[in-house]
Amino acid sequence: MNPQDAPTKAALLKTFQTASQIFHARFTACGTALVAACMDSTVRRWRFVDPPPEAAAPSAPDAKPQPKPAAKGKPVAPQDLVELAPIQGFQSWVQTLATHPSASTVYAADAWGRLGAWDALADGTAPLWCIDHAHEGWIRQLAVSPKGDLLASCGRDQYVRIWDTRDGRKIAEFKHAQDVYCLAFSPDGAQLVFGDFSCAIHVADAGLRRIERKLDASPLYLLSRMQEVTGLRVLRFSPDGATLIAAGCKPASGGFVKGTPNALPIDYASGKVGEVTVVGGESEGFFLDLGWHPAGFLAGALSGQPGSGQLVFFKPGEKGPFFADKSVANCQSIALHPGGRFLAVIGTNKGSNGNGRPAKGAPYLPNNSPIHLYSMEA
Amino acid sequence: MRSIPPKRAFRRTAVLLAVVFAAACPDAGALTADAGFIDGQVMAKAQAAKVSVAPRSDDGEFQRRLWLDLMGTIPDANEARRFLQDTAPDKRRALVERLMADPRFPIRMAEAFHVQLMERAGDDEQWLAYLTASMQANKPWDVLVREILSPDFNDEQKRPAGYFMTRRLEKIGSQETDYPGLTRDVGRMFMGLDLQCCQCHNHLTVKDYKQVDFNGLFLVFQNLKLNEPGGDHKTKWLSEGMVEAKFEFTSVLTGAKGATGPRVPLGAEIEIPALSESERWVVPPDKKTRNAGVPRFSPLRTLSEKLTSRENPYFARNIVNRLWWQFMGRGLVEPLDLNHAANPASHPELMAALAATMGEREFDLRWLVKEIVLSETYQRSGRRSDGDAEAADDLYALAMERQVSAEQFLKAFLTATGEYARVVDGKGWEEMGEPRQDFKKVRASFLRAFANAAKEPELRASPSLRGALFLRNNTTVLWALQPRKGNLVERLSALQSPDALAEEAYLSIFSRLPTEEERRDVQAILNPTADRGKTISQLVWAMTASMEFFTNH
Amino acid sequence: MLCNPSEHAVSRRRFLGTALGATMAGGLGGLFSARAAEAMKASDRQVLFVWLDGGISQFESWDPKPNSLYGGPFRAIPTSVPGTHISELMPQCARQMHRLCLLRSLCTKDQDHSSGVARIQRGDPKNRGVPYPFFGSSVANLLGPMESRLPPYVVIKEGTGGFRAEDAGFLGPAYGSLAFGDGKPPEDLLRNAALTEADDEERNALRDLFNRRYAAQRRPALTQASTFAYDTARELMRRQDIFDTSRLSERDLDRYGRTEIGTHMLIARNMLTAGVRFVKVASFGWDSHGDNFNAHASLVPKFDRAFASILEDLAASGLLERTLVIAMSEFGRTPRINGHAGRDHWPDSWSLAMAGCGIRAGAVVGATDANGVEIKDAKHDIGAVFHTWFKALGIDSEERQYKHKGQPLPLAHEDMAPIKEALA
Repeated sequence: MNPQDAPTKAALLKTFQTASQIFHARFTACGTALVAACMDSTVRRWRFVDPPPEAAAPSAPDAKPQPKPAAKGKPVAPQDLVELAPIQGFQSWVQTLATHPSASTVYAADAWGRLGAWDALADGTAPLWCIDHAHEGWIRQLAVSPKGDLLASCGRDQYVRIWDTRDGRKIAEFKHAQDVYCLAFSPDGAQLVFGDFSCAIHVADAGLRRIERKLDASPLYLLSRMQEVTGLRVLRFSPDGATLIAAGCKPASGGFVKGTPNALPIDYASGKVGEVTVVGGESEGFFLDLGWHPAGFLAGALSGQPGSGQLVFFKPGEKGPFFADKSVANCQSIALHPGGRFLAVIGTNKGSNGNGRPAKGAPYLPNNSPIHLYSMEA
Repeated sequence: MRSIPPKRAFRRTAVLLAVVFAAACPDAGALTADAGFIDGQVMAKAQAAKVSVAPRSDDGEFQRRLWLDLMGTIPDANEARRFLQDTAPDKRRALVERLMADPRFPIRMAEAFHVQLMERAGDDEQWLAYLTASMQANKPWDVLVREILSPDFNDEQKRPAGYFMTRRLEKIGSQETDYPGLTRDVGRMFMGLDLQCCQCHNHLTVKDYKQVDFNGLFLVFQNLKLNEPGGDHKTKWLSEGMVEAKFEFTSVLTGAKGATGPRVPLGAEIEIPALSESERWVVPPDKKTRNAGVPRFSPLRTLSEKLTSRENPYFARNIVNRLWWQFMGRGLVEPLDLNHAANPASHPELMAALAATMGEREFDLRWLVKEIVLSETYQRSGRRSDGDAEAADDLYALAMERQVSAEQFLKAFLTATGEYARVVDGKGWEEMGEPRQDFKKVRASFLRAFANAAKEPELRASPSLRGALFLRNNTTVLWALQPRKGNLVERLSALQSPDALAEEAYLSIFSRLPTEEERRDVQAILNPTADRGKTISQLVWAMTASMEFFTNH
Repeated sequence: MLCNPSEHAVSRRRFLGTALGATMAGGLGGLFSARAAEAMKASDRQVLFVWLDGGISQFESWDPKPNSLYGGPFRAIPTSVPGTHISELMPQCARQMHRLCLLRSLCTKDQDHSSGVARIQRGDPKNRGVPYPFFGSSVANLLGPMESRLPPYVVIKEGTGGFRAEDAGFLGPAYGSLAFGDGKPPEDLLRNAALTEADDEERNALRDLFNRRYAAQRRPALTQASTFAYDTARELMRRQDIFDTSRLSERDLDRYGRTEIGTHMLIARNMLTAGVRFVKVASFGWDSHGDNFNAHASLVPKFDRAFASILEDLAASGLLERTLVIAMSEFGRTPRINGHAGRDHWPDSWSLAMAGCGIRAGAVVGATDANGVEIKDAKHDIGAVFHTWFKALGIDSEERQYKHKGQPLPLAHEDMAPIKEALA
């Protein structure tokens, strides 16, 4: 991509309504579908109606339908998304999912310990494999190794586990002393890092045989009165593996959880923390998701306080974002379309706060998460 | 100056209606304590109840009471001794006159009015300075109240009077601005009427108090807006909106609807003038300059004039009642804020005469204070003899035990322990090898220990756990009991004779000489002691923590 | 005739013996009234009131709705009462469920903290134009102090302590609370370091002497009130063991949890044991508008441990038989989950827990629907709950009334009645 063509901002193309609140969403490797981990105990899926938007270059041989390459230069405006049958069978909300780097497989887990793999594009919703008690209780995050052979999971039961993506066979596990919130594989696939309750980051080998060292993101931890607030929610490596971004919120108080979104660039070799990217004031909430754009910056979703929320672009090591869009309320997740021409921002409906009491006679309704599709622009 | 012979006055009031009395009696303005009018009225009631009154207080009892009431503190040992030794027959009157001429008198009066009017809801130096200046000038009560109720925020001198209202209209948390609270307090403080219940319905037990009375007043105050300092205003200030229509209300009990214009409670409604669009404003509001404008018809100004006029009988009665309470410990009408026909004064003729005279004398506060403190009723002893029957408080047969306010207690404590000059005036620290006591902090700690909670009227002495813990353990209290140059414990330690020590201690702390029995107490306490200094310090503590020191009796 | 401090003490006791026989007990901030004295002998009932300020979520505590639309990530677990389930965040309370009574049908009116906190604790009666007392002040007024002569209404909370008159409403400051901020005693409560206990006793004996001389010529009431205040001060100063955190046993701390609420609950246990009529433990920071689930995952287990431990201890010592135990907030939290994973204020259908004297152990009263939005059968407002508590304490709130300036005022909302299903 030429520097002058490099995108620096995003423009809203279209907003799609959904029936549930969404925690996390990703495009499949082929870019034809979006999968979402939902609060209503489902994984929901949408396919683009033809013509699909520009997608990534052809990938691994087991990837199923290949998207048609789109005309170069000008992004093709996507048409409607059609929802496929939701994946069900979960017992509790589904907070996390991960997609295979080349195949159309999606891995998802619920808060009661169920973990499974599905073909995101299949018409049916039968799992490729499924484990009912992969963890005791709340599975917080999943990550797939760069090669796609390993799936890592972590949860409130203080375990980190590694699974074979092909059949769900447990390969390794590590019992930590604390609730584990987030994890990431290093780009070379050799290491797994995970962030815990007190915002320490532990570096383990991908076989979980030993903890090699510890990195510090403790500025994101706060004991407020007697509430422990874990601000660390996301770990992302730079593509070259030199920098690990630890992001979330620097909490100022418990309860409401006021705090400032912080992204700490940690020099992976030395463990030194560089210039922290800070967004806004204490009402901007958490970085709940981050995606590396191929043009070399990070796109982040900010949870915000009631009604607010932001999509931001920033370069690790810079004080603040170079682009911010505040039109989406309470962002939960950000999914970068393969190739980097589009991104989907998962927000929350306006007015999600308050008691939600409807006018007399009307039903009491849950909130939902609209999907906002953006195109990247120079 | 002519005076009414008490017997004549009594006969006359017996046949005349109370309210008619003042108008019918041209001599009422000449009422004086010398004439014994107050005492005549009080004695008549006591005699009718066949209750014998206590004798006159002795000089020690009297001077302590008078000093606390007029100076806000007690006399030091020298003052106390001098008065006791004074043999002049009119020495009490002379003391009253001397103390009322002392600069501490207006300060004490300001303090007393501050506590009554603000009920610990707030403290403000400028407000206190305003009250003090008003008392120094003996500002007539009606003038003072008009300045409070219709504050001129453009007048540097009078601006602080607005604190009474601005403080009450400050928003606390997310609660609604307390317009009803301000309305209630105006009724209570300036007319002796607690109309709280009448916001929503006619009073259930007081026939005179109607819903229209509260709402006529409420209409005026809910029309005010509290503004932050800015522009010409250095403090918070109030602006008044336009009132063009009556205020409508509904009884929550009966559903009956009503409407009223501005109104002095239990009085006539003030007519809302019909003004054309162009006539409404003297200075029209300006959104650009954020000037709130000046309406031609100001309900607040009109109300403050009518409420404080001599035509409003409750205004004069209330100030008589509140001052009487201040010096006697009980109002002629009790509770202070439940004046109404079915709750007459304990001494109706006395109340009527004092209220009428107060009006004629243009609400001269000093006059009434002097009338009261020179009366025999005020000077009655508070000591009971064994055979005394329990007499009702409203007979004033015995002086009441009254509260010593936190401010009085602080000054009295520092005077007694001989630390006043050091702590209050900041004098004499240079030669001391110890850190200064910061008066502001000391004052704040005494107020925390002895003042009531906000909005709790301080009506009577109330020993509390908080106060007890404070006197037992507070560092400043214990500091004052260490021997230090010129302070009481040091002076006492230098006295070898137990008798001299007893005299000095009793004069310094209780403003009186010890009895024979008490002299023997002191001798016994000091006798077997191994550590005389410690015992003296304990003795001083015990006296200042005792009930004789804690109350004004 | 006086000679030495020991004689002072003897005569002092004699004096107090006669003075207190006819007295008078009462509150803290102000004048002590005589009324409470009879009550003091009549009742040995005590109260532990645990206040979770900001609003604990009923979903993440007493009324879980696992695998439902608004159920959140947590599971429900069985308890010592077959058929009753509570949140997995409360494993220890689950084992105490046979001692607890859950009320799952609370429907109250206020959804703001600033007004709701006071409104709930005052029992939300009909508006009489006067501020009603908090429950603690009511109990201090109606039952008075215990024979221990310790203050009747003590609050253990985080932050500042002191004397809080505003709790008492129209009852007046005498029935306000004495608050131990951060579990520590208020200003000037501890004996000044410059004083020995013997010195303090000596000078107080002297003070009694001066008071006797003074009172001999006055009506006794005021001096008696003062004596009571000084005696209460003395009792408190002597019983520093009950709030000295350095003296708490390691074993107890392990059981209650080395947390703010754990320590405060332990002090509460000691205070109840020492004879404080009403102990309120106030925990703050439950207002989880954002990140509700992680907040509750952090907070609820700390409450669970402390609350279950005190229930266990009160039961073991027999105190539970005469102590009413309550745990509640000013409201519950919304079923629907907002855009920052929080729950907002919800007075429409929520829960509280009770135990102890007069309460039906093991009962669950009321139920919400499958999604926890609506109450299925009878709804209960806080007025009914107040009647229930009064009943449990042996106070007939449907008959008895306060007298305020001659006006009778009901103890609790007169259109409501005790919840029979919750009473033993």
